[in-house]
Amino acid sequence: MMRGWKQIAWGLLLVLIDIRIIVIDLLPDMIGYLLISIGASKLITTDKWRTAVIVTSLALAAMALPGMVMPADGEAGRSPFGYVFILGMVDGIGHLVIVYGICCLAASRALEEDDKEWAGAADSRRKAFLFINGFALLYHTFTFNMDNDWRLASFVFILAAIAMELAIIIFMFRTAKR
Amino acid sequence: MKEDTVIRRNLPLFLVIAAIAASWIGNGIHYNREQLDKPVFFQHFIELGDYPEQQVELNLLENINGGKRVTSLEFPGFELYRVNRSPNEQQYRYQMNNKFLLTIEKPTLDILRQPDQAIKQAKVYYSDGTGGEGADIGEIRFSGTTYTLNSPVEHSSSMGSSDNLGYSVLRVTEPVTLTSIGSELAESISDWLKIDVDITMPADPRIPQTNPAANSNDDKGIPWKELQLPVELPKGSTIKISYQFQFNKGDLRAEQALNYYRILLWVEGVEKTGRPFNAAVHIQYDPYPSERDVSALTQRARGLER
Repeated sequence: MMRGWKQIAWGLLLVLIDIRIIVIDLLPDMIGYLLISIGASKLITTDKWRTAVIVTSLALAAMALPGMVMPADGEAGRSPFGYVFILGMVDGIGHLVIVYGICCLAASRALEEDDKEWAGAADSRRKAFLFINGFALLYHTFTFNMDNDWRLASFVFILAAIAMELAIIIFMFRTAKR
Repeated sequence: MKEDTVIRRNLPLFLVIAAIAASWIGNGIHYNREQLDKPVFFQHFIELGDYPEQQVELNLLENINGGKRVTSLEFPGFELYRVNRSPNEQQYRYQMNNKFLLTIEKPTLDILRQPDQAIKQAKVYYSDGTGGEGADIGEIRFSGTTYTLNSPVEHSSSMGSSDNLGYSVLRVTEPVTLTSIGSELAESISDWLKIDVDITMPADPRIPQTNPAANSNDDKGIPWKELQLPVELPKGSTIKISYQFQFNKGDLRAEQALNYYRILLWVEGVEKTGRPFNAAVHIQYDPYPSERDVSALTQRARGLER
């Protein structure tokens, strides 16, 4: 059980870190998502989110395959209906679902163990993640029709989203230790 | 957990996903509406002088992201010219104003010298291998007049601004009779182009006239069409030719405001010896399209394509 949370945390960290040499991704998201699905499968809970997290993680792992060798940008990526952007958006929404689900699982598990305080902490992170990362994703859909000046603001949202992601990862490690 | 509790807990997630999806589709549709199917040329109305190697800028709009790019231009029926992409570009939200530099060599100029000859279309080839169709680029033609060597009317100073107004001051170095001031292109856009001529003669021809442009920007000239010609000008006279493009009439702006104009206004006359002479005043108009202009051009081009 404890190992499951750790694997989820490491999985999220691997997804967050993107190290590329030219176009080859040295830390592919696929490994991260597979770790999350393996970690979620080890959790003992009755919450339906467990299945949802496993299935979504496996789907994103499969989708991450082309991303291992494909450049992250390029002409096709700059169009809102280009394949790179579509993959990116599906990945972004899927990731939102996974983290939301993991937080729900953490809250459910804490409630099952009668730890209301931890359940509350998981719920507050779930809401914060949904608000910040959901808003960052929503903002991203507007960038095509924005001036360059506004595009600079994207960095603020990206930084906020990364900070929130790190907060969730730390929370998962702490959940594993609990 | 009860079904309604599950729905209530997950409702914010569904709402956020729905908002992202709706925004993505909406923004995507709007973005696609602002894309050109293929590059669009601005219209250029250019009068050429009588010398080879003249360079003409051809401006066009191309999408910033994706879409067709112009790789080369041809001008069927005209021989010997060079076309190069110019690095200057003005960037808009969805499009770039790119330029091609057309260098007109002597054989092409010789063709343009013939009556009713003008470059009006370019055969355009695109980066995706398609193309070969003609695109209107305006009208580039020979101004019809040849420069006079050692003209007794010389350039003294000139000024042009981004407000599309300016002036040229010509200095008369020998006594002459001014017979005409004109340009076919300037006449064709006389509704929007205001040209004033201010002739100053020295009280004593031996005392050179100071440069009127240096003194003030006051517009004391009279419209060029109302100028009573011929007029004799003593040595030391100055001819100040001021111009202003006025495409705005109240809140309305003429469609021509988005065209490029290069006008050669010829000042012609005869010397005391009877030798005819001429001097040219360059009048230039560059549009400075706004985002709204570029968007309107895009919509019009898309409308014409469908």
